[in-house]
Amino acid sequence: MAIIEMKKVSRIYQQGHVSVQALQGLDLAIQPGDFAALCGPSGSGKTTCLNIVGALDRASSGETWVDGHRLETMTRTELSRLRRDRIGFVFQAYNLIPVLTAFENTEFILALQGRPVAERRERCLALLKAVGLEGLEGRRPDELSGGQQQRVAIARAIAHDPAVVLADEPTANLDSANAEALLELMERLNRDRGITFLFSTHDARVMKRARRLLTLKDGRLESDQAVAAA
Amino acid sequence: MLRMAWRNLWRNRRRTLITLASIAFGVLLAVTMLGISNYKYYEMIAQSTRMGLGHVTVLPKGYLEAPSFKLRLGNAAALRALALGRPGVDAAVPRVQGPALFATAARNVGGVFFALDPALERPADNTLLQSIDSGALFKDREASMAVVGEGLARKLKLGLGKKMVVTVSDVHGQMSSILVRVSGTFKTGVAEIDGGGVLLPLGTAQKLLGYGPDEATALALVLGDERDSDATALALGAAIHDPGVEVLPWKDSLPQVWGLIQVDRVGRRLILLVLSLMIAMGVLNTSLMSVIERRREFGVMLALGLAPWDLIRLVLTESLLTGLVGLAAGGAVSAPWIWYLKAHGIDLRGLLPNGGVEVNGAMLKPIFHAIYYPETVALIVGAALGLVLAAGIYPAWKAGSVPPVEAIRND
Repeated sequence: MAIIEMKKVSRIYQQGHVSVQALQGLDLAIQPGDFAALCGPSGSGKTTCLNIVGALDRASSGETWVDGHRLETMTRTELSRLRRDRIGFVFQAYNLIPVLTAFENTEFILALQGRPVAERRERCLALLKAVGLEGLEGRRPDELSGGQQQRVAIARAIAHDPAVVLADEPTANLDSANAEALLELMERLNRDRGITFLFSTHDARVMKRARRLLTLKDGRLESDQAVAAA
Repeated sequence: MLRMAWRNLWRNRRRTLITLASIAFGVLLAVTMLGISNYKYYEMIAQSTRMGLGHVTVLPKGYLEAPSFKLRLGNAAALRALALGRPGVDAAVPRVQGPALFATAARNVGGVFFALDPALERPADNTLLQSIDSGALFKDREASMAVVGEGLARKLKLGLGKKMVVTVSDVHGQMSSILVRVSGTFKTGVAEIDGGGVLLPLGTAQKLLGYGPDEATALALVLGDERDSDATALALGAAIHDPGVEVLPWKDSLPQVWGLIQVDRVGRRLILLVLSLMIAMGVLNTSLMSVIERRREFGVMLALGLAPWDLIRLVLTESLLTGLVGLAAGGAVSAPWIWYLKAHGIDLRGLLPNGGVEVNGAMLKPIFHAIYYPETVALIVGAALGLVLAAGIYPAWKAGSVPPVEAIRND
């Protein structure tokens, strides 16, 4: 069963008196364990697609299913709970909470879930070690490099064992070395832990590493291409 | 949540310090205004009640509306015993007072006499006794002696040991006179009292009026805390259970004083309200700026699964912490000032050459101290916290209603 399924999803924005059709009857399915990249030119609908799948935005029509939940029928509170429990987010601009340390950022969602302190501590320390940030747990975002911040963001995104991690242009703000390191980390997490990743990208290096390339054009799926692992 | 709110408070240290300073300044102003007002009211009540009627007065029914020697309490001793049995009643003294004509061979002056029992009176409860500035109070309740106001003594050219005739219309409506010798003079600073007041022994006045030895025009009660006067009057009235007797708290027996305090309180409330609004607007502005600056951050937190209500709680917690820290800062700034007000007070002797301010026949001292009751402290703490929380509601609601997708799109 697909973790994410979009059936004839359309999204129309109203910009003043002009209607902008960001998605036009998009059909898409992401399977458990996928390491899939959404690619396409600017304005093709990548971010809109991620926002709808991430329960941050609502489709104008069609059906969106995430981890067995039909998003269009859910209330704001239910969507909030779904994001908290079943979806991990990695943003282009890291978006760590500035007043929290690397450790506290990582445990943020676990704390929202009300998990016990000991469990949070054990899990987050192990995760920060796994993403190569051992010893930097007490640093705040402004004391970390861009690459390190994005690693914290990944640790935060997977700390609560989500069904899928959604990453919007995760390497866009990183230099080559950090981008490579981040991609290796995401690949490793996908391979070793079976975490499903769906990310939007323009970056050729990212597309090269993806095992599925979903190309969008004008809000429609232009191609869905399986890529052999490098 | 608390940790995050606390850290958020110090993200813009300068702005937070300015906000805290404005709250602390507001607390200092409130502490000053409320403390001095409390003292002023306390003094007004104390000085007025010490002029004769006490915090609670037991009177013959109708006496206050139409004072007459014919209206009198017939069982003053029993009423006194009953009053002294009430909790919070420190003293209960029978008194007779009313109009009289004071005359010497050369002149006569109309005025008021206050008759009291020297054995039962405590100078602390009676302004006239505190104001004796020459000679002494008579010691015998039957003595033919009097203590006269300094102005009256001057008008009648009376000195210590000199004689004066006191004439009244007695209980039967007949003229009645008695010759008394001046044992002392008093000076309250209130021209009306000093120029026409005379203290007489209770027994002497009773004889003069044709009263029995257990009769008086009033029983004045002195309470440990004047704020208990309503409850004490009510309870004592119920205990006496005599339709011919009424028991009045000072608010009813001295309605002018109560009215003055009420008018002053309204003014005080208005000033505090304006002050509070100014501080609240400052806090609202700071809080709103802080929320607008963190719009994207709030969007991220909501995207990660934080419920809007939790975000509202976070911003309100920040407001509450601002209030608590501002209150603590205000307390720290106010503490030495409170000590100074209590120990030294604000000395207005330079501005008030007459030695005080006359309010409704009572003389207020020219040095203003401060008094704080538990409810004053509760009012300041409650108002400060309530204001910052109220000022935080709109920014908190605004934070909670951030659409995450739009906030993140600002990247």
